Amino acid sequence: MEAALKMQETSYVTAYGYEVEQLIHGPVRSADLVHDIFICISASGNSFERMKNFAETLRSLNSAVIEITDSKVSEEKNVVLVKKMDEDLSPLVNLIVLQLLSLSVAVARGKNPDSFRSDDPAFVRMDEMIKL
Amino acid sequence: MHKSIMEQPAAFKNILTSPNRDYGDVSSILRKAKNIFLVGTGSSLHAALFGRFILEKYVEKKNIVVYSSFEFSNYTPNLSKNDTVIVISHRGYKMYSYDSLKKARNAGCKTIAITGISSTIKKGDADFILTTVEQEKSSAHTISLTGALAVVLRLAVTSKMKEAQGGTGTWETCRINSPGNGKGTRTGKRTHGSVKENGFFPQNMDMWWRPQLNNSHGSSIENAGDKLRHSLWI
Repeated sequence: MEAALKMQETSYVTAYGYEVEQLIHGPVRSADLVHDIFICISASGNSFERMKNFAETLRSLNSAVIEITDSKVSEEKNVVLVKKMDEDLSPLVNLIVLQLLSLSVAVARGKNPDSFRSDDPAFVRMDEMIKL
Repeated sequence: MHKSIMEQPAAFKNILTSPNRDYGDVSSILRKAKNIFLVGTGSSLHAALFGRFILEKYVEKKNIVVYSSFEFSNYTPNLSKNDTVIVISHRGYKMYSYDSLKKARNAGCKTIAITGISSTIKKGDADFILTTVEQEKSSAHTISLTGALAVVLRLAVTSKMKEAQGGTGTWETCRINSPGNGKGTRTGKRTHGSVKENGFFPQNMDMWWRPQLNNSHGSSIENAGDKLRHSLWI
């Protein structure tokens, strides 16, 4: 969810963050399996097999998959291998990868990752009207 | 944003190691609390979700609930003076986060704010204020979030250490006694009681990550510290 938020804030893309089972149970039906990109984060632990299985399924359907994992089990492309650690601490490592990815996407799309759209008059107006 | 991302390992280490006796006091409060509420918005809410996960593992069995600030403020749960409310807010000025603190205080709860340096949350707004990092220039928060995660992790480990020492230990007093030669020779002894401020932190950080507690909890703390250190390049 944090990665999706960072993508939204820096690149202004539509992004969603789900736990794998939540995604399978509905939201994935609204996905464009050809054009959307799935970033699958699988740390060794209880959810590992389920996420791996989902990533493999997406690949078999020719969907674009980026995998962040601590256990490389295949020679698939677009796999970011991170250090293996306890599942409960894994967000601390995966987070940094996803932050860097968000930054890279923003730069690639020609967006200023720091601006929060403050250079867009409509959003400036929004900030004036809605107090945080 | 890039600068903030790259500064995270150092900030993380700094938060985990800076002298701050409040962590001992706050972990005592957490251990005594009936319910612990973690409250935040946006990335602070995500820090709260991580906090629940990690506190549930390290703090004695507690009912830990995560609320968005908006929800906590507008649909406030039943609170009692035995509850502890932790509000996470990087900048401190968001009205629902501030209002959540206020509602918790009015209900007699113990209140803890996890917030950035130079935040608008001031002394008196909460019983304890645990600071993270300087305010970020980028609105897409990165190091602020990691800072909040570090604070939560330190609270969790401090609580676990207190539990291991029968409620008398603190983060600082759990450390192995530094031989003072900077080489980090392990003595296996822990310092208790009146430890001089300058003696809390062995020059060799490797020692700090290995508390070597002589009980069944030691290994999990040690593993967590090791894995963090290796993974975050500390």
